[in-house]
Amino acid sequence: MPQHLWIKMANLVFELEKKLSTGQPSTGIIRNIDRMKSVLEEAGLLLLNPLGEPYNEVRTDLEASITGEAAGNLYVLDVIKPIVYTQQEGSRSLLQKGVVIVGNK
Amino acid sequence: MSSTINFAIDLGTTNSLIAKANNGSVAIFKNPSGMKVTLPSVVAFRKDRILIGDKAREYVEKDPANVFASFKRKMGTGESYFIPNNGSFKSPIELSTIILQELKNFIFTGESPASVVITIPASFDTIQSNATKEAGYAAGFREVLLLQEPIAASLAFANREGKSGMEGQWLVYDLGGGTFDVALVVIEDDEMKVIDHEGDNFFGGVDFDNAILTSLFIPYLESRFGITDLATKMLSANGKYNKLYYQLLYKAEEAKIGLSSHNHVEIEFDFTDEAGEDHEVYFSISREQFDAIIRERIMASISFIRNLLTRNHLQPSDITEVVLVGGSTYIPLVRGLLAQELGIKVNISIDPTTAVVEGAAWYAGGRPAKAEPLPIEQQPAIDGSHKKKDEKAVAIEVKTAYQANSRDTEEYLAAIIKNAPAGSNYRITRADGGFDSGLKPVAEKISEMLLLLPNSLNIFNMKLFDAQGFALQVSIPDIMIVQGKFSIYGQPLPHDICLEVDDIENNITHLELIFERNAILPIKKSITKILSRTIAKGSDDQLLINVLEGSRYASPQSNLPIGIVSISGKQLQSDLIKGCDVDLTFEISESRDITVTAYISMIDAEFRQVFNPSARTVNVTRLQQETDYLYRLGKRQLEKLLKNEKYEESAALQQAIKELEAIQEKLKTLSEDDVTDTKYQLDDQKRRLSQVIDAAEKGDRIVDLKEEYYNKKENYRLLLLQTGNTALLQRLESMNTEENSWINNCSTQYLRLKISEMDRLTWNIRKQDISYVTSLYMYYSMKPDEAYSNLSEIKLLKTRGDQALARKNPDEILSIVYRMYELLIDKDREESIKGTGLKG
Repeated sequence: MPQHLWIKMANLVFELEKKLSTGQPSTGIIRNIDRMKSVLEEAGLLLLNPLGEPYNEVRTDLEASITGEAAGNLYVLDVIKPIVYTQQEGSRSLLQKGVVIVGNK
Repeated sequence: MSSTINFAIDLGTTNSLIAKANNGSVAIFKNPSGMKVTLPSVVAFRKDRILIGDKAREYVEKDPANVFASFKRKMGTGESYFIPNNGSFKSPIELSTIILQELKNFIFTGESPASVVITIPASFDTIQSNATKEAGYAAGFREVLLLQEPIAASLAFANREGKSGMEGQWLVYDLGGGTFDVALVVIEDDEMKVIDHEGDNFFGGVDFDNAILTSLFIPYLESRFGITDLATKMLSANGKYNKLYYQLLYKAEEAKIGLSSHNHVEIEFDFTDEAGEDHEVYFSISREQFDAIIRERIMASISFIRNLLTRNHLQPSDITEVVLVGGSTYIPLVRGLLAQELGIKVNISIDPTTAVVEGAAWYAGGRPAKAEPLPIEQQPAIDGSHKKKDEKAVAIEVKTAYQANSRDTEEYLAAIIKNAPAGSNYRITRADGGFDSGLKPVAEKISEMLLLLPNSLNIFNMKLFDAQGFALQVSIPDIMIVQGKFSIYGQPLPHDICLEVDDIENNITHLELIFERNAILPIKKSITKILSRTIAKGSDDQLLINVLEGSRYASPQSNLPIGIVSISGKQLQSDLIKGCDVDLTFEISESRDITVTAYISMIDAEFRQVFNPSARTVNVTRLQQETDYLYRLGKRQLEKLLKNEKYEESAALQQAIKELEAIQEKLKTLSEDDVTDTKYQLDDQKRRLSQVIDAAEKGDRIVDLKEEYYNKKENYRLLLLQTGNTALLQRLESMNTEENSWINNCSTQYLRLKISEMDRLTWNIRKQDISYVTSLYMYYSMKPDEAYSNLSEIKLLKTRGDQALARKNPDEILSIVYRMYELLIDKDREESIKGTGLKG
C-alpha cells in the first residue's frame, strides 16, 4: 500500500482514539485500536499525540496555529493530526508534522 | 564538473522550491524537516534565533513586526524592513538570500552548485530582475540565470508532452496560495516570449478557505446554536472562539482539497456553545455549494484574461491552450470555467504546484554552466578571501557537553566555541526532522535545550555558519542522546529475536524478525498472525509460538529457542479455524524476561507466559517435528551426494542422520512433562546437527537458489522498466542496498522467502496486465471439463470467462481463474509440514 494511504489510515486511527478518549469504550474496542496501531507500526509508522505538551518554535515536528497572544508558556491545546514518523532500518524520519492548536493553558 | 547548470529555484512570493535536472529527469528536493517540497518564503527574527519557512510562517500574524513574508513584491525597491527584536534592517534582497540559502540545505546529495536558474515573475522589470540576481550571488551562486515563471511552466508542459515546444500562442494561468498571474506566451523566431501579462497580488487559495469559513461554517453555527457575531468572536485574539477559528480554517482547507476530487465532503469538528455545552458537528459541503461561493472570484480572474486578450487584439480562438500552474488550479470550477467561458483547451498534464521549478530545471539541464564549482575545502567563500576563511575554519574549536542518557523530555546541551568569526551563527537539528534550533548567534559559551523523542536514540547535528550564512568547515561529532531507556546489563540485544512461522508454499518454516539486534531494552511489539491450519478442540494438535534468538537469516532449527507457548487442542473450548487472527505481543524487560501473550479473538481467549533466560524451555512435540524435518532433509541430501558419488562429503551427513535417528528413538519415549534435562540435551544435539545438515544442503542448494533469486529479481526489474513504474523501481533499488547485508550469510529458508517475495511483487504487476491474465485464463479454460470437480460450475465459469474477456477487466477474469484453480482436481500438491500453525 502506498505510504500516503498508510498515513491517511494513521490519521483515522488517531481520530477514532481521540473520539473514544472522552467516553468509556469497551476493552474490545481498545484492543482493536491497539491492533491497528501495531499494524501501522509494522508498516514502519510511529504515531505520536502531542496533546498537552509544551510548545515552542524549535518543534519542527508540529505545524502550529497560535491562539491568543503568543506570549508566555505555550502548550498544545488541540491536535488535529498526529505526528507521524517513518522507521526503517534503524533510521527515523518525520513523515507528517502534527497539526496542532497551541496557546496558553 | 557538470557541463550544464542543472539546478533551478522557483523563488515564489508564498512558497519556494528547488530542483535538479539529472540525465533526462527532474528531481525536486524535499525539506529534510517534514519532507515537503515547498518552503514557505517567510523569515522570522525571533528574540534569540532566526526561523525560516514553516516555523516562521506560524508567527506571521502573532509577531508581524519581526516576521517577513511576501517580500518578493518589494524586490528592487529601496525599502528596508526594521527588525525590532535585534534593532537592525533587512532588505528584500537579504531576506531572499536567506530563503535561497535555506533551499540549498534541501540538497541532500551534498553538492554545492555554483550555477543556478532562478525564476522571476513576468512582471519583473530590470531593477527587480537584477535584485533577484544579487540575492542569488549573495547566497553563494557564482552564476545566476533568470527565467520568467510562465516560460518555465510552459517548458515543463512541453517536456511532459514530448513536444519540442508549444505551438502558436497560449496562456499560463498561475493561481497560487496568495497570488494570481496570467501570461500570454508565444514562440517568435524560435524563442519563447511572454508578450503580455496581468495579475492580482492579493488573490489565491487562502481566499477560498476563508470563503468556506465565512459563507458556510459561520452562518451554520450562528443559526444552529443561536450565536451572534461569531466571526468577530473568532478573530479576537483573546476571544472564546479564537481556537475554533484556526481549527475551522484548517478544516476549510481540507474541505477545499477534498472537493477537488469528490462531489461532496463531510467535515466534523467539536463545538462548545455559549452555554458551555459540547457538540459534535457534522457538516456536509457539496461541490455546488463550494462553486457558488468562489465563482465570483474566479470569474474576476477570467476578466483579467479577457482584458489581456482585448489589449493584444486577440480572440479566445487565437489561443491554442491554457496551461495551469499553482495549487489552486486543482479546483474543478477553475478548470471548468476557463474552458466554458473562453472555449480554450485546458492543459492539466503536469503537477501545477511544481510546474515552474520543474520547467526551470529542464531549462537548467540544457544550459552550459560557466562557473566552475570550487573545491569543497574552499567553499563557500565567494569574495576572494578563501584562504583567510579557511584559516579561520581550521582554527575553530567546538566542545560539547551533555548527558548521553536521559529520562526527561528535553536535555541540556552546553558547548564552548572558540575562534568562530564574528557574526557567526549555529544551528542544531535533530536527524529525524523533529527539532530545529533555527539560526542562533555564536558566543564562546552557548547552551540549548534539546527536545527528545521518547524511548529512542536521538541524534542531533550542529553546524556553524558565518555572518553571510555560509557553512563553516568545522567537524562537530553528532550529539547522541538515548531517552527513557536503560539496560540493566548496559548493553543492547546481542542477537535478533525471531518468531518461527510456517512457509506453506515451500513446505518449511522460517524466521520472522520481532526485535532487531542492538535494540535497547525494555522493548515491546505486537503483531497479528493468521492461523495456517485448523486446530480441533480436544485434539493433540498444537499451535506453537516459538521465540528464538539468533540471526534472522539463519534457519529456525539452528537458533536458540528462548520461549515457546503451546496452545493444544485439549485447552480449547471450541475449534480454532484456519485463517483466524492470532494477536501476539512480545515483551522483553530490562532484566531480559520474555513475556509472550497470544490473544485469539475468535474464541476471546488470552494465553500468556513469562520466560526468563535462566530457565530454558523445550517443547518435546516441537523437538520431534524439527528432528523429523531435519532427518528427511538430511536423507534427501545424502541421496543426492551418493548419486553423484561424493562419498567423502557424505560421511559427515551419514553420521548426522544416525545421530538424528538416535534422537528420534529417545523422543519416542520422552513425555512432554519430563522433568529430567534429557530434552535440553537432545535440543542441543539437534541444533548442532541442524548446522551440519544446513551446511550440506546449503552448499548444494544455495548457488541454485541465488541464481533463481537473481533471475526473478532481474525479470521483475525488466517488468517495471516496461511498465515505467518509477516508484517501484526506486523501491527495488533500496532492496538492492539491503540485500548486501544478507545475501552471503543467509539460510536456504531465508533465500526461499526472498524468492517468494519476488514472485509476489512480479505477480502484483502481472495481474494488471490484460494479455497475461488472458493467457492464464486460456490455460485453465483449455483443460477438459473432466479435470475439474464440479462440471456444471466449470461450464458456467467458462461462459462467464469468455464474456469477461470481451470486457478486458483483469480483476474480473482473475476471479474466474482463481475459482477454476480451486475446482481443479489434480493439483500439484506436496506433502505438507506440520509446522507451528502460524502463517508466515
